[in-house]
Amino acid sequence: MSSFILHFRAWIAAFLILVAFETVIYVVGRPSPFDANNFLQFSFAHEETPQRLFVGEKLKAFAYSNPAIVQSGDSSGFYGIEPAAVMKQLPAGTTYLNMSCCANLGFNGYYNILKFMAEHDPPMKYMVLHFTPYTMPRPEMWDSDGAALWGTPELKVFGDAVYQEYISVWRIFHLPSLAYRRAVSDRIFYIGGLLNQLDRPLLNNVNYLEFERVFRKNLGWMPESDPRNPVSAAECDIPTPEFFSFRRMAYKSYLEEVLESFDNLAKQYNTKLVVVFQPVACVFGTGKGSEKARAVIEDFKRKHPDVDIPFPLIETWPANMFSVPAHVRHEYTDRLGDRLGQALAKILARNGDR
Amino acid sequence: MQFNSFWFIFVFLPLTLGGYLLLRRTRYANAFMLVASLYFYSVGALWYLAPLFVTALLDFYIGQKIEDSSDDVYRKRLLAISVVANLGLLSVFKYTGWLTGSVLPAFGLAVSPIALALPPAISFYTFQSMSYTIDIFRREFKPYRNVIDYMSFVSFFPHLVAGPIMRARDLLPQLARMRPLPTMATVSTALFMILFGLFQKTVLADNFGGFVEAVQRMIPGSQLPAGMGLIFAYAFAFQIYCDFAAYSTIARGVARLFGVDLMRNFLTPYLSTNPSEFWSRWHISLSTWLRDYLYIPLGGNRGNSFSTVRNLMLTMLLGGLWHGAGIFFIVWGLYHGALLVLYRLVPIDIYLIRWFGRFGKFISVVLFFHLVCLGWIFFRATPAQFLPIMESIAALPGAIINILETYQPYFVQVLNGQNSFFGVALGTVWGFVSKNWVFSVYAWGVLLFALPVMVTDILGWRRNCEFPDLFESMPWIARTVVILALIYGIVFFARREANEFIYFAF
Repeated sequence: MSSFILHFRAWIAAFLILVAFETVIYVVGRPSPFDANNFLQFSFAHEETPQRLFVGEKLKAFAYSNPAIVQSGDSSGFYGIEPAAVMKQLPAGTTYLNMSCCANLGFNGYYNILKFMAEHDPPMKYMVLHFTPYTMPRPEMWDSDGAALWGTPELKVFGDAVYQEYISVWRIFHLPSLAYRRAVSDRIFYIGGLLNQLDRPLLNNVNYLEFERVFRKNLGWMPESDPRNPVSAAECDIPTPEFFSFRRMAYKSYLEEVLESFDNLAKQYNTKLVVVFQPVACVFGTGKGSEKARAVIEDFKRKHPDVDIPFPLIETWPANMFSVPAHVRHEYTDRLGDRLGQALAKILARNGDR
Repeated sequence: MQFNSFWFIFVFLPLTLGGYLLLRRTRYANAFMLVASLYFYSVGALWYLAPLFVTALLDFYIGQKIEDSSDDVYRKRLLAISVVANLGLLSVFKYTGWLTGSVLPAFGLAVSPIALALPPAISFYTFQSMSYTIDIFRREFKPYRNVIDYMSFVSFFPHLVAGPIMRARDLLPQLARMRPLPTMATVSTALFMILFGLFQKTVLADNFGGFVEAVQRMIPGSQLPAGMGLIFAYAFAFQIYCDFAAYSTIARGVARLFGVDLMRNFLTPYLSTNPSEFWSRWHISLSTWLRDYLYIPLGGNRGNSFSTVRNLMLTMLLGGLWHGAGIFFIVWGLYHGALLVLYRLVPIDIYLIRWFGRFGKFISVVLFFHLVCLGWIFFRATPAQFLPIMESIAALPGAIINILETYQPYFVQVLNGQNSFFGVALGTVWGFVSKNWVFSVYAWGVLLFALPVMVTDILGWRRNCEFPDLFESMPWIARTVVILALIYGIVFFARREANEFIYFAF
């Protein structure tokens, strides 16, 4: 026996057994690639991050739904934009999908969701980037991991995980048996349910099951259900942080960087980018608090006439229409849907998409 | 760059190995390794290279000057420059924030806190580079005149970030010569070391880390449930061991692929019966460094009892400070110094073994493990977390007594033959679990993940080696089973949240 085989026969045998086992699982179990990945944690006695779970469920539910328009962004759109309300304003047969989630997905995450959908959904014509001026692009939500962004270390920006698990080339290492990770870890970690009280309650509890039912029915929309708190209506203060761009050899705002990246993504997939700012409770006031951000947007519009930005950065709605600064109360979300639907209808008409 | 990343395993390592194998017989091999190592280190931030270059080049230059001089005073001055510059640079990065943020304000000096980012591995390469000049000064080692070889030694990527801290006399000669290709047996063992290290890190260390974080999250605002402090201590004890041992094991495995032998850094430390044995099994490269370059030059145990105690305490204090800036690192170092002194004065383990034989040895191991765990609380907890953790540990016996009192009537029935012992015992345990649910669930978790650590450590301990060293001597079917168990362990139980190796912060 050659020296190689002699010393590596354990490795070779392990490899062959692994391949055989995984092949059997793949053929017999037909596991979904949306289950056979590492996106969810299934850690011992540790609840899943709700936002991560929502994104995982949305990608799984809508990957092959072939909508014409896909929205991605923060929770302002997740709770604010009801696709049915938008579609009422659009030409018949034009489908709209709400893939928004939450600010801790980060702008990288919004980007990766649109990229994922574009790869799975060739008929897509428009990408809608929907966010509130309260969560504008900044380093924590674009080019860093954003740990402790909101003062809670568990709530990390996880947009990169969307790329790693659903888009990147490393997916080829996802074994089919990964789909059974939860079943296996449940049996070992919780002795088949005996120690289930600390198990991920989110996956089993009634509210989560209700969420699953509702978002599927509503094409990704979830009615807002925040506790009611007063929302400030002071002058809008929109930070516009910058970084040094080596490519340009000058300072550049994250806002411009992000908008350019999304435009490039839209062009890559032959779609058009629409950037939508949600109305705010704060007021324009002297305008100084938002001056820089507005200037960046105006400059971007000039340089990128193909991108539609149908609403101004600051569009003030009464504070009592908001549950928290980033969320419009569910009683008023039809107005948001109508507003966006009408704007999109004009854009579609202008582009001849009837 | 992280060892436990796809990029390292599937891109960096194969490309670097391929490049090395192509250039192995040429004089460019070390230059290539140097470039690869610098890339590996600076991929997080380019500026990390600045302190590395300052330290390494200074010592390279000073080493030659020391060697070239026969004037002892001049040699001493040069050595002093090297030591002061190295420790100065290390201190600036490591202790400035602590000094300006905590120490000086505590003495009533109002200064603006200065926060400096700590370059990874600075504590490791500083000690490594310092040992080079000290060895030359002692005339135990001749300096190398080739800067590429020297820089390859300081920056050799498998061990650069978290050790083992290699001496120049052990590593430089290996790197400076053309190394033969590793044998098939070496490659097979090296791959197993890498796989086992990945299992230790992603399945064991990271999950234990989850328990530690969970207990820390419970502390603010509410009293820790009884026993959770113990969970914290056990979980961190296993986390830091598995994390650091994983890095060392992977480092040794990767180095072997390049034909380099790195020293063993761990040898089943939690099966030690006393502190001296522990420090000869835990972070061996640091403890031997401290012994050779600090404890022995201070006088070691050559003087009277007082000077030995002083030398031990000073060495362990600096060992604690090496790990980080903070009052609890000092306390941790002094605590271990005190343990060394205590066991020197009262050799508890020797008494126990003399009185109870093998059972006494078992008791010594368990006792000393718990003393180490107590030390880890200082190491990991913040001062604000310390008291709740200790209160929670102190509350556990009360919780057990409470259950025993509740079930006492049933035990009386057992004595009277009215009830079965097994049924009552099971009922008592379940009663404890029900009343101490959170503790019980986490205790199960710790036990679950500690089991592989204990099994593999005991197997290694019996042969005075680490578990991966047993690989070659296993029957090939057993090897196959172990490989599959490790792979599927990682697939199913690795903690998915990305976690850096703990010692990256040192």
